[in-house]
Amino acid sequence: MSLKSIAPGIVLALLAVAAPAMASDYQLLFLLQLLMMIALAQSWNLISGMTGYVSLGHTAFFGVGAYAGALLLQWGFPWWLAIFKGAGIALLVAAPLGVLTLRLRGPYFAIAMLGLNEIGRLVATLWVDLTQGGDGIPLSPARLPTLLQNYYTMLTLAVLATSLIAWVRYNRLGLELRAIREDEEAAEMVGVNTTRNKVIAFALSAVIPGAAGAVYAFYTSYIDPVSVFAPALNIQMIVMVLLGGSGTVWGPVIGAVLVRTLHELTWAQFPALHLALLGVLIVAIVLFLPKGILSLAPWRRRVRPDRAPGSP
Amino acid sequence: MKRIHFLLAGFGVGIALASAGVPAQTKEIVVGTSVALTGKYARTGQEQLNGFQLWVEDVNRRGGLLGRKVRLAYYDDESKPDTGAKLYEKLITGDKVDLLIGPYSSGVTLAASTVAEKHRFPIISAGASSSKIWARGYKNVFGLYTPATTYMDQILALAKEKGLKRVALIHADTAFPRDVARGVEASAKRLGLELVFKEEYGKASTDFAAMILKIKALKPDVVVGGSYLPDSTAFMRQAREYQLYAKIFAFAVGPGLPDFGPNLGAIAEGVMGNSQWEPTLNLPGVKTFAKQYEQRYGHVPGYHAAGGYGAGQVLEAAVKMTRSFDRDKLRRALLKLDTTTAFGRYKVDATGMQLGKPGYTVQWIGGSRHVILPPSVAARKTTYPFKPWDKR
Repeated sequence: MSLKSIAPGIVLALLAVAAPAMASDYQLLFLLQLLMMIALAQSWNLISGMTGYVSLGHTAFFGVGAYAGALLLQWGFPWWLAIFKGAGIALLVAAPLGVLTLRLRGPYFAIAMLGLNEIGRLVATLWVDLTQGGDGIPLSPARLPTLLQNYYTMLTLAVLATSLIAWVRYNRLGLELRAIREDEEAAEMVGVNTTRNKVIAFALSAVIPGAAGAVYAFYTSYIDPVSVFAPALNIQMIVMVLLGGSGTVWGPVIGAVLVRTLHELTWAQFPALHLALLGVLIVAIVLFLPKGILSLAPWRRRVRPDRAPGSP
Repeated sequence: MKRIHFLLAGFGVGIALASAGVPAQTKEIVVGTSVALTGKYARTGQEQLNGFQLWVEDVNRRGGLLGRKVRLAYYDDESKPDTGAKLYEKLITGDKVDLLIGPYSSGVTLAASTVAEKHRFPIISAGASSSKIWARGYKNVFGLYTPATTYMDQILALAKEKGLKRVALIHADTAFPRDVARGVEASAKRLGLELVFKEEYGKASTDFAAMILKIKALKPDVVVGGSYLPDSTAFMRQAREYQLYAKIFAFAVGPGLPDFGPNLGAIAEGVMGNSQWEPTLNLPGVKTFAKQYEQRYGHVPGYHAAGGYGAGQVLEAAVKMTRSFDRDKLRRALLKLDTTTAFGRYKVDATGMQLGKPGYTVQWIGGSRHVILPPSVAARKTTYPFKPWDKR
C-alpha cells in the first residue's frame, strides 16, 4: 500500500477529528450516526461483500453489544470497559455460530442469520428479569459518556472497521475470501481453507457492530428490543455497501455518506418519501449499478483482483 | 488526487447538509416537538400532531402567548428512540425553540427526556405513561397521561363503597400490566380490601381455564385484570364458560377499546375498563374540542389527539402563570400548576409524574361503552352489580 492510496483516508479522519470544534451538537449527532453506519456497513462488507455470504442478521451483534453495554454500565462498569465487553460478547456469540452456520451455503446462511436476529430480539423481549423486556432499558445520565466521548469512540470504530477492510483486502486473507466469493469449490481445490477463512471473517465482522451497539445505547440513553435488533438497520448496511461498491475499501464509506445525507435532506420535509427513495435506490443499484458507484470511477479500471496481493 | 477530491466532496456535502437547519428568528414563539409520522406509531402520531396543530390555531386566535404568535416546529422521529434523541438536540440547540412538548410512546420519551434533562429544558410529555420515566430523578419531565399505577383506583374505591372485600388480581408479565398490578396492590391495601389471588401470565396467553377455576374456588367479589385486548376478551369468554362470577369485572386495556363489545356480545355487558380520555367526558372544553376536531379532520378524536391539545393548554397555562418563557420559572410553574384542560386535570407530584388526572372508568352498557367514573365527569350511571350469567 502506498502513501497515496491511504492519503484520502487520513485526510478524512483528520477532518472528522476536527469536526467537533466547528459543529453544533445536532450536527455532531448527525456525524456520529454517519460514522456508526460506516462502521456497520464496513462490518457487513467484511463478511458479505468479501465472501458473498449475505448476512441478513448482522444487527444481531449490534443488539447483543447494545444490551451488553447497557447492562454493564448499569452494573457499574465504566463506559469504555462496557464497550470492550460488548464487542467481546458479540465475538463470543459469533465465533461458534460461524463454525456452525458457515457450512451452509447460498440462501441458507442468509436465513440462518435472519433467524439469529429474531432470536436475539425474542430473548431481549422475554428475558424480562435481565433486560426489562419490551419496555427496554433507560440509562442513567450520570453514568453516560458525553457526546464528545461517544463521537470519538464511534470515529475510532469507523476508522478501525475501514482499516480492517483495507488490511484484509490487500492481504492473502482478502484474496482467499474473494476466491471463495467467485467459486468456493475451486478455491477449496487450490488449497484455500475455506471454512477457517469464512469463520475468521465472520468473527471479525461481529466485533465492530458489538462495540457500535454499546455506543448506540450510550448516545441514545435508552434501548429496547425493537430498536436494536432492527432488520431495517441491516437493510441500510446492505444498501450502503451495494451503492458504494461491494468488497471495496471506500465503497461503504461513500454509500453511507450518500444515504445518510439523502435521508437528512428529505426526511424533515417528506417523512414518507425518504423510505420510498431508499426502495427506489435499492432497485436502481441492483439493475443498473450492481458493482456500485466505485465501478464508475475511471481510475479503478486498472485495479484487478488478480493484481491485489502485494500490488503497489 | 482525483480520488481525494471525490471523497472530500462527499464528506463536505454531508457536513454542509447537516448544518442546513433553518433557525427561525422572528418574534414568534416556537414550540418544538417530534412526532411519529412514520414507523410503528405513525397512526397515533398523526392524531397527536392534529391535536398540537389545533391548539396552535386556537391559541393564535386567542392572541398567542403573551401577545406573541405561536408556531409549531416538528420533525418526524420515525418512532425510533435514537432519532427522537437527535431531534430534541436539534430543537434545543439548532432551532432554539422556546417551549418543548414530548414525543409519543414511552420508548422515544425515555430517550428524548434525557436530552431535555441535559439542557435543563422543561418538557411536557404528551404521550407516555410508563412509571420508569419518572423514576430516574429527572427534574424536567412533566407527565400528562394517567400513570398505569393509578388506573384501577376509581374501580377499587367503588368496590370499597359497595362494601366488597375480596379482590382477585391477574396480569400479563410486561411492564405496563405490571405497573397496573402494582397500583392495584397498593390501593387495595390502602382501602383495606383483601387480595385473595394474584397471578401473572405470559403476554400471549389466551387459555385461562386453570386460573379461572382457582379463582372461582376463592369466591372473589372483584376480578381485576392488568391486561390488553386479546387476553381480557379470552378471559371473559372463559369466565362465562366456567361460570366464574364476581360483582365487578375490570380490565386495564381491553374494555376501553371499541372492539371489546362487538367481540364478546352479551358477555361484555357490565364489564369495566380504563380510558385515558373519551370524547364524551363531562369536563369543560371536551365537547368543544371534540366537535372542532371532528369538523377539521373528519373523524372523532381519540385520546392521542386530546393529549396533544391538552399538552399545548398546559404550556399555555404555565406561561400565563409566570408571564415569561424563562425555563427555570416555567419548571417551577409546571410543578405548582393545577389546571384542567380538554384532556383532564393536570397536577403533578414532585417528580413530575401525573397525579391529578384519574383513570377514567368506562363500562359496557347496552352494547356501547360509557364513562361511569369518577362521577363528576360521568356521562352515565354505573350498572352494578354484574348481572349473573344465568340471567343474561
